[in-house]
Order: sequence, then structure tokens, then C-alpha cells
Amino acid sequence: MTSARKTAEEIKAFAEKLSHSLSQIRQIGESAPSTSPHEIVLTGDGFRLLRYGTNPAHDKKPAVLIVYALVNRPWVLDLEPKRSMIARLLERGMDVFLVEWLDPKAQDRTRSLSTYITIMIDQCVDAVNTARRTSRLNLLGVCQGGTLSLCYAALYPKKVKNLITMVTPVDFQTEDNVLSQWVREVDLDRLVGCYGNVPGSLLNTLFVSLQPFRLGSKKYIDLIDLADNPARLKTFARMERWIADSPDQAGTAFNEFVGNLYQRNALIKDKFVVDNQIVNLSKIRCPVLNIYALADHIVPASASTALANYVGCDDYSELTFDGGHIGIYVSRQAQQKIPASIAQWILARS
Amino acid sequence: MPHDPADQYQDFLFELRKYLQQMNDAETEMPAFSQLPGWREWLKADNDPASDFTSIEKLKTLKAQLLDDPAKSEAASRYWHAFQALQVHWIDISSKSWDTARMQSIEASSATNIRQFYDDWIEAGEALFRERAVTKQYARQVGEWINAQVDFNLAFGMGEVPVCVDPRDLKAALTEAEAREAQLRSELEALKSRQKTKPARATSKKKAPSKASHPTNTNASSKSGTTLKKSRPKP
Repeated sequence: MTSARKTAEEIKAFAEKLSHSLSQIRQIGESAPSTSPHEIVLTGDGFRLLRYGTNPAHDKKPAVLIVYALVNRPWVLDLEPKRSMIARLLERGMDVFLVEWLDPKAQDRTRSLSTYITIMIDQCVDAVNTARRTSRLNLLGVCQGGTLSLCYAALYPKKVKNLITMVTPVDFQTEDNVLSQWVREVDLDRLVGCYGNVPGSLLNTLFVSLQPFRLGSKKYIDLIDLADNPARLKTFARMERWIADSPDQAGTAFNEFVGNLYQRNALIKDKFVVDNQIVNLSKIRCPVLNIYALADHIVPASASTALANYVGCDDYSELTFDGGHIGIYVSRQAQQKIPASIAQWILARS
Repeated sequence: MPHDPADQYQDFLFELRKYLQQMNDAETEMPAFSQLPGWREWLKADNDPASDFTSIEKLKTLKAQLLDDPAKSEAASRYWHAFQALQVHWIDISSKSWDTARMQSIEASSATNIRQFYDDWIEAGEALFRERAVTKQYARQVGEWINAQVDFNLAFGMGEVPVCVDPRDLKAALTEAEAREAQLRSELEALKSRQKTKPARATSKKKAPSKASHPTNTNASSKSGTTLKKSRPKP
């Protein structure tokens, strides 16, 4: 054991460094995400469709429409120039579109998943196809957006040329799915009755609770390593802002998603109904690329790999990432690997 | 030096406290751990002190409300118990992981400095938490904590209690609706059969469309279909 005097000196030095980092991060102030150039192609009730890039020849490139989760903001895919999956996809010759969900208003509490899937996503798909004079596109669903994309591809198989799912839950009740175990007995009717639209802060607390030591303590202590490194402090501040910025959830859609999927695992039992139609994953015949993270604490790999057992396509591939749920969006390793693999996979099927 | 690790640890803590106290009393003050900005600050949201539930005034109001209303009191009690049940786990995990890190530090000499010791503690804590989090008991208690929070809010007038429909009532309503539908169908059939027996009205001026008035040209109908598609409202 080290001597008490030495430990006391270490604690003092530790506190000084941490205090220094904290004062620096306070000076940085608000760190807005630096988004890649984009235009708004379409604005609908509850969503916007964005098109990235300024290249006038992007019509000739393969189009990919990104459908992100409802529970977080999509700008983590375009956090800053060096940590931007969108920028990397553009560099790899993709014509990138993104569905940006707008915050539900009080009157949107009854908005259903059917509305998100069969109206909003469908309008975006049609708009992309109209803009590019095509009839099918490449769909990239991320996290919960992947589940929505799977539903869409099963219901509208003729409109999807290739489907990419990324950290997407399919089997919601695998043994290592902590989130699923926790919400199994939540009374969703009362929850939605109480809040109307479910507060993002409630979900945020739940997500952080999944790794309380790391997310509640360690990452802030690790700030001492970032002292006098403004670029990394800015990245830290942006990530903090993104993590805290969980939008509220339309009550009915939240109830349907958690109730049917997390509580009843309806998607893989052919019991998940969207717009009066059962979502049958075996109707997905287009090529599928399933990307998942091996150390994902929100969507465990087992929840994603289940997809292989249910889709009806012959051309099914998997891509693993040795990291976690957030790292797959922003880490340097992911930046080098994931967008390049997606682009390569799409180009091989274009 | 005592040989018992527990005594040694106790002595270490005593000494550490003494040195930290000396540092504090000396010319160099320990730097204050300034608090990190909370999520409201990151988002530049309105940080309204009036919404602070921990203010004395708010707590006084809350206490008065609880004493006056048994439903509120019960909801608050349920929430408090649910929160306490989880707290017991957290204290247990923190304590056990601290012991794990301490034993590693003593026996394996893994921690050479305070930072390493802290990292060991975090690793041990996260590992223990992962095991605990997937147990049925812990999962049930998280569910209860969320449900209790909702009940607490409902008891204090936030939101509406959804109407609970008894499945037996639903079944009775369904049977009634089916009987009514069957009755309406039979009435419709009777109406139809009565109309069939009546002679056609001579005053009717409507003519059955002739073939000539409706082009059967496939090209024309195809064009019509195209036009329809074009006129479909685009988003």
C-alpha cells in the first residue's frame, strides 16, 4: 500500500487537474454540432428530410436514406468534421439523405408507430425517389430507426433496394438485454396517461442507469486527461450535450414500441401490427447488411444477430464492430471502418 | 506496523485524513471541485429556481399536501420505498466493489496510484452492477420505481388516470354489438327483398351507359391511369 502522505499528495494533484479541466470546459460554452452542408428537401408533419453534400452530380451516386431512432438526436452521426459518419459516407460517393424527427407537440401524444412508418418514412422514401427519378433506394436504419426500417422494408418491399441495419434490436428479450428486463413490468398505459408525451429526461435517466459507474462518474474523472486539449474538450462537451438531449416521445408510439416489442417481443413472433398489417420479416427479400457492436450495452449483439433467423433474403451479411453503442457512431475506429464498409456493400449491389 | 490488513487499512485512512487536513490548513487550499454543468446548462434551458423541488418552501408545501391527503401520502410512501429498495442495491454494490478494488490493491499490488485504484473500483463496480441488473429482483424493482413515480405524479394531479376497462365488460359490449349487427343485417336483407318485389319506377330518366359512350381503348385507360398517378399529391 502506498503511504498516506503520497496518497494525499496524489489526491491534491488530482483535484487540481480536474478543477483545471472543468474550468476549461466551462469556458468552451455551448458546443453546437458542426453539421455537414445540407438542404431541406421536404418538411412534413413531425419530420424533415435532409439531403447532405453540395456536389451537383450527386444524383448519379447511390442514394442512402438514414432513418435514425426517435429516442435520440441524429446529429451524433454528424458530430464534428472528424467524427461524422455522414461526412464519411459522402466521401465514399454516397448521396446521403436523413429523416430528422421533430419533437412531438402535446397534441401528438396519440401519434402511432404506423404514422411514423407508413406515412412519414414512406413520404421520405417517395421524396428521395422523386428527387432522383428512381423507384427504390438504399435504406439505413440506425438503432430504433433500424427496427422502424425493418417494418418499412417488410411492408413496402418494392421500395427498398438494399437494407442496412445498424445496432438494431430485433429479438427484444435476449437474456443479456438489461433494458428489456427493466421495462417488462412498467405499466405503460398509466405512464403515457400520466405524461402524455413521455419525457426524454426519463429515458435519459434510464439509459445512464445502465452503466452508472462509467457514465455517472468515470467519464467525468477522466476529464483530467483532457486538460489543455481544447479539441478533445469540445468533443466531450458535444457528446455530453447529445447524451442529455433526448427528445420527448409521442405517447402512443412509445407505448406501442415498448409494449409490443420490449414487453411482448411481437416482431419475431409475427404479431407486430403496423397499419392493420402484420409485419412479417420474411417478406424482406432485398439484400440485408446487419451491423452491430460487440460491447453494446443498450442493444446487445444478441438482440441484433437474431435478424438472420427471420429475414427472407438470400443475400444477408453481418458486420461486427468491436466497441459499444455510442462508439460505433463516433469513435475513430468506427469512422475508418463502418462508413467504408457500408459504401462498399452498397456499391457492390448498385 | 500492524500486520492485519484491516488494521493497516484503518491506519492508512487515519493518516490520509491527517495529511489532507494539514494540506487544507496550510497555505495551499484544496481546489474546490466545481460542479459540472447539468443537462439544463448544456442545453441552455431555463434554469428556473421556482421549479426546484429541494427548496425549503417547496418541501414545506409538499409536506402539508401529504399530511392532508391519504392518497398523496400513499403514493409518496410507495415512491420512497421503491427508491430505497434500489438504493440498498447501489450501496451494496459500491461497498462490495470498493472491497474488491482494495483487496486487488493489497494482494496483487495492481494499483500503484490513486487513479489506478479509482479505475479498479469502477471496473469492479460496473461488473457487479451488470450481474445485479439482469436479476429478476432488480429488474422488478426498477419497474416498480418507474410505476411508483408515475403514481406519485398522478396523485399530485399530473396527467390523467387511464380508464381501466374490465375485460368482462368488453366481452359483453362485443356480444351486444354483434347481436345489433346481426339484427341490422337481417333488416337490410328484408329491405332488399322488399325492393326486389316492387316494379321499376317508370319515371327514372337514367339510362344504362352504352358501350359507345365509354371508350374501351386500353391505351386511353392506361393514359388515364398515368394521369391519376401524376396527380397523386406528392409530399
